[in-house]
Parts: sequence; structure tokens; C-alpha cells
Amino acid sequence: MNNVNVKIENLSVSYDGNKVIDNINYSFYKNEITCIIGASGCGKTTLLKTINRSIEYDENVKTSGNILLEENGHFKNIYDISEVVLRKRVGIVSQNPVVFPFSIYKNLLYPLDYYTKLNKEEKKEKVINVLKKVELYDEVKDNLDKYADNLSGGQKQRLCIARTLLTEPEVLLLDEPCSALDVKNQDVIEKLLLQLKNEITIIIVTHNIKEAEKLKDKIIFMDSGKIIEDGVDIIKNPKSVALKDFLNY
Amino acid sequence: MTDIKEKIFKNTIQVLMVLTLSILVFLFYFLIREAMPLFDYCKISDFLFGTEWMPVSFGNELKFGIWYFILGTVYVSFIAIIFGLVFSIGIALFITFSLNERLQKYIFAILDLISAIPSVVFGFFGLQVFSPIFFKIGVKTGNCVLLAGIVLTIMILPFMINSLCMTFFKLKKKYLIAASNLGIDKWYIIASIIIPESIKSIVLSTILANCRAMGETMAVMMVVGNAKVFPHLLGKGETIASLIALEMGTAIKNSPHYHALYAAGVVLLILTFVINQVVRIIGRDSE
Amino acid sequence: MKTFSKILQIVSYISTILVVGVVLFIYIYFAYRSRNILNINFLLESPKGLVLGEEGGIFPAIIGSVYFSTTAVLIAFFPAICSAIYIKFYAKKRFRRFAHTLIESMASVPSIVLGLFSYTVFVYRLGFGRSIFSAGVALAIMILPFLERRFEKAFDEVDINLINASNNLGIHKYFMILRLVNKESFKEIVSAVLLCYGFAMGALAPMIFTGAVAYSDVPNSIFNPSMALPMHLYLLIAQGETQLDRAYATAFVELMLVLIFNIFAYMLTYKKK
Repeated sequence: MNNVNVKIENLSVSYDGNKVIDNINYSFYKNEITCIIGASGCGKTTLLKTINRSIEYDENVKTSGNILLEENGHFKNIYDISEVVLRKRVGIVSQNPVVFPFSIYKNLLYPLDYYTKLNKEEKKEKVINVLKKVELYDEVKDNLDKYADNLSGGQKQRLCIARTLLTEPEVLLLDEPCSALDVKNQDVIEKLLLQLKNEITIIIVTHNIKEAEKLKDKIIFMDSGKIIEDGVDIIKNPKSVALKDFLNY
Repeated sequence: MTDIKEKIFKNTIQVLMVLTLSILVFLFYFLIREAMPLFDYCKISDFLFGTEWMPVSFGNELKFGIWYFILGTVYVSFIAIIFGLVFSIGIALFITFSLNERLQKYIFAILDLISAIPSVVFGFFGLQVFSPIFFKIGVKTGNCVLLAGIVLTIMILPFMINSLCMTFFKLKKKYLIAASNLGIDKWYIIASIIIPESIKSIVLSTILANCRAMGETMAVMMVVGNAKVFPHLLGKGETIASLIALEMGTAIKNSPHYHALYAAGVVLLILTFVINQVVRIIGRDSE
Repeated sequence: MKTFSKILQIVSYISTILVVGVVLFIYIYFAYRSRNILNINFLLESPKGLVLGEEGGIFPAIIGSVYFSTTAVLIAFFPAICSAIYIKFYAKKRFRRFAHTLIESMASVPSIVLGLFSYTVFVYRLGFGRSIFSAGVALAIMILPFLERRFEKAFDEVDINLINASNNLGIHKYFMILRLVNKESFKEIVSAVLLCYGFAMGALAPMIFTGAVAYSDVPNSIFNPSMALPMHLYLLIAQGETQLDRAYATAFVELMLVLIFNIFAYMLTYKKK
């Protein structure tokens, strides 16, 4: 119980009156990777986006219930934290990487300039460190001033992860981060996540069961807005009909 | 630190925004304030429906009837939107259905240019090019209500075409491909589906254009003849806007004349404002 | 229905040709009529002669117009951009709709009425007298709704994914707007300002009794009245046949200025996808 980082209580979310998340209770633990699987439309991405309230970019969304975030041994409701602070603490990486229309270097300066008061050299050092962490440094070290939009999909995705890491989040949410990438890039990102979990809590939505098996500490299976099964070995020993169907599919 | 910056930023913006949005209130307040003293000299009904305008006394009684000016304003703008309707529907259809995206951009650039051409230049153009034609067919001096309407038509076209194009683009997206797949001729689809479907927005954008037309000053003033008489199609007339532009320079501050011109301004303002709001309310229901 | 569709087709071709033709005709005809007058001296000299404008040029009017427009744009820019930012990035749906209604209503206010407003408030009550500033305020209120709308349109064109990506980093809106939105919409903003600058240059109704005069030297302060191109043109026309060629030349100068501003504004936004 001590290690719970994000606790969800009676969470329901509706879009224009349609329920997409139906009364979910769950706890995510520190230094673990939790994978959320399920058919498309089951509400897994919605659940993820509710945790940092980015779901609320759409004005038609209504949520009820609580999401608690651990803070110095206590829990605090995320609806009592300002959205801006919450989104710094809970970072998100989306399916399609969005790079800013700047150079690679400036993309990474964007959060740094905002959050820190470091001088130029210190900033540069941070940028290089984070690029090394996502294994992008060797590929782009000569092109830091080039336009970031020219990078490949995999490189962009790693750049976006690096950008999010610079805000030093406590929880990292990933929405199908590898679905558009080739095998090589997938491996790099999976390796990176396994290494990152020593520092932060990771929640990842994926439709790729192999990937979930590789990364998991825990797996959640969702269907029609509800958590049907969860645990470590649900893929090897599926109990519910819905999960069996999903795995065969 | 960033929280403070955000607060400062947001508050600054908010203040300037509120200031911007309250300009309308100031406008109404100051105009009405200057207009009110007129009604010590003259009843509201005499002002609105009176037909004589004698703002300066040479021993005679002062008269402040703006009925002919109101009629002139409505008449001229009505002619403009009738012509404008034909042209703007035609051009908007042409832009939407006959041009590729690049050519559309060129036409829109030309429309931007038309709306930027100074109204004095349009007035001059009307005076030099159209006025002699009217003179030849027997209109005294060549200046008349119809001429003002024609000049005004060109000026409100960009506005009308822009709003019609928005409607047509939407409908094109919705129907054209489906209907084209049935092998129906493009212009048949336009006549049978697109036009009937867009009747309402055509009417609304026409009324809004009418607002613009009523407020136009210089071009109309230069070609309408400016006679304080009942406006006829081929006769002279005068609009509220041209009345103000012509006489404001000579009106003595705080004289009844001065207040009467402000009252005329208020009438013009309310006329356009009310029409605008009505259109907006009707338009919102259909959304 | 068949005949109706044929009629529509014909109307659409004819009206387009006619309107494009009118614009071309205006430019060509005015250029042709001003061929004898228009030269560098006409642009750079002050008006002279017994009847003013009979000889000499229009230099003070050109500079005066620049003063009027610059004042108007300076006054209108910040309120317009702040309103656009607030409405786009901070306002909730209902307020946005309310604000749009107000802005649209403001756009429909006749420009002569703005002249009246500025006359009572700035010329008369606040004691600025007939001046570039008084007229500038009226012009500013005239262009403000147009600026606001074009700014908002520029912001609308910023990819929503970029905005969300910035929000996802837990970054306040001020930083996003100054760093990201600013860069994305800079060209559109400049283009909107240029269009409105040209628009303000041609408007006579708001300044006719608030700041424009028949003759002045090149203005040295915005608290003095000044000549302006549309005013000068209007007076030349009012003098009748004797000044026609000069009126054509003055009008052509105005037309060219408008064209130049429009071309620059167009080029700035043209290359964008």
C-alpha cells in the first residue's frame, strides 16, 4: 500500500452523455510498468488521459470520482491541484509524436526555459544527457540546429519522450507509443521504459500483447469502460470470456 | 514564478479585452448623450417622421424631420443588395464550383482588394463613368439613387461573397461527391440542391450586407445628389450618413443642429445594430 | 430545373467576369487618366496654386495618411490581439459566443458614426481638437473588429496538437502563446495589420470632421490636424472639371498604395499550406 502512486476511485467519464469509463477503481504502483490492453473503443486511452486531465481539452467531457496522487506520503486529489502543476507531475506521450516547429535543440529548450533558470551551458548539458538517455544523441548530435520536423517517426517519438522527461514527471503516461514505429525503434523505446521505471511510475496503453508481456509488471484488461481483469499473468491464464476472445482475436 | 507571470499576462489581456468589448457601450452612451438635448426642441415623432429639415434658423421655424433621409438610406441600400444578390450568388457559385484551390485564392485576393479600395475612389469612379450615362438618358446632373445603389453594389460584394462562399463550401462537401456519383450534371445539382438548401443563409447574409450598405458614407454621398426630397429611383436623394458627413463640419457645437445630427447618428446606429442582432438570433436557431 | 441551372451557370460566369473586369478597368482607366500628371514631383511636392491643388503635388497628404493609419493601427493593435488571445485561449464556449456577437456588432457600426463618437469625446470633451490622434481613434475603432477577427483566424490555424502538446508538458498559456503561437501565426498577424493599414488609409468618413483638413504642412505631431489622401481627393473632385486630372492621379496613388499593401499581405500568407 505504501508504494501506491496513483489511486483511482469510482471514476466515471462521459462524452456528450455517453459513458466511456464506468466506475473504475484501481491503484498504480511506484516503479512499475502497468500495461492497459483492450479492444479499440474500450476506454483505455480515455482512462490514461483522465489521469493528467488532458481529457478535458474537449469541453464536452464530464468526469466524476476521484484520482489521488501521492505526495510526501499523503494522497492528494488531482482535482485539487492546478491543471498546469498536475500535467508537469504526470507527463504524457501520445501515439503520434508532436514536435514543435523549432529546431531539435529548441524543442528541448522549450520546457527547460520554462521550468528552470539554468545558464546556457547547464541547459546544454541537460539536453545532451536526456538525448543520451533516449539514445538519440548519436543520431542527431551534428544536427541539433536542424528543423525537428525532418526527423523520422521513431526519432520524433524519442524526442517527445525526451521533452517530457525534461519536465521531470513523477508519472509517465504513454498512449501506444510504438504503434507507428518499426521493430528497431520499438526495441529502443521498450529498453528505455524498462530503464526508466527505476525512477518513475509508468502507465502504458497498448494493443500489442507481446509488447505488454515484455514490459509488464502488471496488466489491466479493459472492456466497455470497465476493468475486466488485472494482474501479472492474465495473458497466460485468462479467466473471462471477453479476454479470451480478445487474445484469440 | 511562472504562476505570477501567467497571472500578470492573463490579467493584462483580460483588461484590454473588456475595454475592447465595452467600446460599443461607450459608443451608445456618448452618442445618445449628445442626441438627447434635441428633444427639447422637437418631438421624437416629428424627428423620425417629419419631412422637413431646417436646422439653422433664418427667422423661420427650426424643423428636424429625417424621414426622407431614412427612406433614402433604406432605398439606396435596398438597390445595392438586390444587385448584390445576383452578382454575389453568381460569383460565389463560380468560386466554389468552377475553380481549383489556387484560382480560388486569387479571386479572394481580388475581393480583399475591392474591400480595401477607398470609398472616395469608388464614388469618383461612379461620378466619372456612370454619371454621364445617366445624364444621357435624361437624369438631371446624372446623380441619382440608382447610381448610388450601383456603386454601393460593388462595395458590398466582397462581404456578401465571403459569407456565401462559407455556406456553399459546406454544402459542396456534403452533397457534391454523392450526387456526382449518380452521374448528375454539376449545375443541375447546384440548382436543385445547393441553392434551395442555402436559401436561409443567403437571406441572412443579405440582410447583414444591408447593414453595411446603410452605413457607407462617402461613395454614396458623392453620387446620390444630396437633395432633401422624397427619394426616387432616377431622382436625387440623401442618406443619413451623407447628411452627417455634409453638415457636421458647419454645425455649431451644442446648437440644435449639432444635436440633431447626433440624433440622426443614433438612428443609423440603432438601425444597423437591431438588424444585426435579429439576424444573429435567427441564425443561431438554425445552428 | 434544367433552365434554372443553365441560367445559374451563365449568371455565375458573367458576374465573375464583370466584377474582375471592373477592378481591372478601374486600375487601367485611372492609370491612363493620370499619365500626364503623375511623376516624381507630384509625389514629392506640396500642393500649390490659387485654387489649392491646382499645381504642385500631394506629398503632405501621403505623409498625413501614413500618420493617420499608423496612429490607428498602434491604437487598435493591442486591444485587438489581446481580445483575440483571450477569446481563443482562455474563454469558455458561452463567453466566446457572447464576445463574437459584440465584435460582429462593432464591425457593423457605420464609420461615420465613429466619426461622431470621436468628435464628441476626443475633439470636443477631452479637448484634443481636430487632430491626427482624434481621427486615429475613430479609425482604430473601425479596424479593431477586422483585426480581431483576422488574428483569431490566424490562431485557429495553429495546429491544435501543438497546443495540446504544450499543455501536456504542464506549461502555462502565456509561455505557449509567446513562444509557440507567436511563431506559428506571426506572418498572418503581420498580414492582417498590413490589410487594415491599407483599409484605414482609404477611409474618409471617420476623419472628415475629426482630423483631416484641406491644407497643412507635413505633420510634425499627432496632436495637429493634417492633410490626408482621401480628403485631398474628395476636395479635388469637389472643385469640378478643372482639377480632374489631378484627382485621377491622386486616386491612382491611393489605388497603388492599397494594391501594394494587399500584395504584401497576400505574399506573406500565400506559401502556407
